[in-house]
Amino acid sequence: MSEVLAKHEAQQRADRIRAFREELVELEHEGALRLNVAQRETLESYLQQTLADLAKRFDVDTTASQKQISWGMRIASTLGGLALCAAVVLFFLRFWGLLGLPAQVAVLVATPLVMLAATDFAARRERTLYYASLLSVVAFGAFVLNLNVLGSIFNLTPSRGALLAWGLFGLLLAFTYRLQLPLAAGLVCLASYLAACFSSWSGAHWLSFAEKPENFLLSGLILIAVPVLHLQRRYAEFDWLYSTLGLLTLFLIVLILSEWGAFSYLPMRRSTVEVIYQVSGFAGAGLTLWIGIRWRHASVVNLGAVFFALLLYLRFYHWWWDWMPGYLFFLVVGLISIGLLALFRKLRSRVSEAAKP
Amino acid sequence: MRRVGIVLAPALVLAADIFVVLKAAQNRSGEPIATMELTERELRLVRPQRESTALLLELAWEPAWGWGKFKFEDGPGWFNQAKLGEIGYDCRLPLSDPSAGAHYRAMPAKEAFAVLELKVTGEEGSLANDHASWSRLLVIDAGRDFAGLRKKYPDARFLIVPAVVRLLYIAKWDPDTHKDAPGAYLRGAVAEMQVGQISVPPSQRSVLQALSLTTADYLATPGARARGPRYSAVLNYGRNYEPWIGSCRLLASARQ
Repeated sequence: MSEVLAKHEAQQRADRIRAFREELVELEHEGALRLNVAQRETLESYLQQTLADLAKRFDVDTTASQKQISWGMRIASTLGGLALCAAVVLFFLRFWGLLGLPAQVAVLVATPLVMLAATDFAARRERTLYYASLLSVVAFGAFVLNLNVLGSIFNLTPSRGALLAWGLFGLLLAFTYRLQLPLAAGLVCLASYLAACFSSWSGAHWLSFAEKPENFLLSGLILIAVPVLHLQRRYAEFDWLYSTLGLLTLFLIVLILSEWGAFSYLPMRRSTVEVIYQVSGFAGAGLTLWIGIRWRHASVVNLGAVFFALLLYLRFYHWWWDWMPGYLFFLVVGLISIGLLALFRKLRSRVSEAAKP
Repeated sequence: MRRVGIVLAPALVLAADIFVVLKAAQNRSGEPIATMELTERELRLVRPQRESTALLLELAWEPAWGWGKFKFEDGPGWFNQAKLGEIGYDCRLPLSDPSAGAHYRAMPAKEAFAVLELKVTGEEGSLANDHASWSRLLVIDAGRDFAGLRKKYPDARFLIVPAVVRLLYIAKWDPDTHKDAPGAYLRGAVAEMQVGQISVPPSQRSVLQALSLTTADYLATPGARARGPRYSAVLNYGRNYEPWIGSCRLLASARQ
């Protein structure tokens, strides 16, 4: 088992120990469990030792405040990476005109390579990977700049191949250092590449790929299949990203086509396409909720619930807004929301019942 | 994976860059397939960003896209339904169908070659007098087959350029019925050139660097149109139909 996968599991264990300690205090307070002094000391010493060992070996967060600070650091490294990307792009544009052609090409080629070396250096020096994550974002941005500006210098026709190169680069960074930001960027590029291929194969200009949402259908399905079929067992910490991106892609396709059916490839009347996508949207949201609850994936449940609500309120708007007075419309929507709340409470209690031993 | 990734990531960067450089070299190998000297009227000086030192020339043509619509004459003109069919658009749905507007407006852009004719002095007519337009390049035809178009337009005053074309559903809105009024028609339009902005090579920068104003800023100064364009540039197209600037020179108006 690799060290980084072990780190993911180590963090899960540290979280479980923290929850166990909190529950133990509660149990003792309620009198459900009494440990004598010797037992308490032995247990506490063991837990302390385990946490210290996990912290030493994997640099995991052992307290709630540490975890909150880690989130702050993650956000800071993302923003820092994006800001440094902007700095690299603007710096190059500022001095582009002052360089000769060989110097322009040399700078463009060298920047992502230097950033790759910096990412590798940071990843070797720091186990938490915050700096490596920040530098990987800059390396990715530098490669995007590299192909964009080289294409511009030589006046090349924009090609979808650039999306493929950026996507593969993002995936290489992600799998080499186990970083989620370049994975997200790489997956978005690869999904766009696949969509651009479909657009081109259908006879349209490849850059029009976003005009037909169904171009993203296969990408969405592949993204969902990765965690469902356990295709990436060695990289289980990426599963949530695949499922979130995949579901978001599919939900956006359904949402757009349920409103504007003319943008579909389906050879049917616009209204028929819209009804098909509305029905499949509700079915898909329901299925997502069911799968999320069954597999206990909070992010999947949340996405399904938000999408279900969005679809429902859009239908209410189309059915009632034109002929209902505004106050009555919002009253009805409010009452239905209360009904939905009751429904979700019932669902929640059923799930709790099912979880009881 | 780590060792493999450390080798593959820089290899990917280098491979992509080598591919780009080879593609550019292939485009410029041999004689250019087309060469035309154009002025600032057709090649507008632009800077990609306020602080940027990069210099780009943007190809301008008529009818141009401006303020969210094309400046067309009434009716479809040469880019009619039959030409749209040649480009690859399926126009079989009757325009009288209630869903025709939504159907045709949702059609994506397609790639095609646009034929641009340079209207030389004496033929400029309305183009020169129209204050909104300045370019002497006029789109006169479009098609998918470069060789066929070259055969049809062999003269040096025609440029055949890879472009992005769009189908437009033109209808007047009837405010009483809240529907498109009868008499709608389809026409095509050249929305953009595939390479619309051409980089000024470092060897030619010294010529244009002296110009402090971009073309848009220059046109906003009083009497700019009367003074005329400030520079000319030789535009070449290579084997992959991709352009590059051959040489630039300043014209008399630049020294005024």
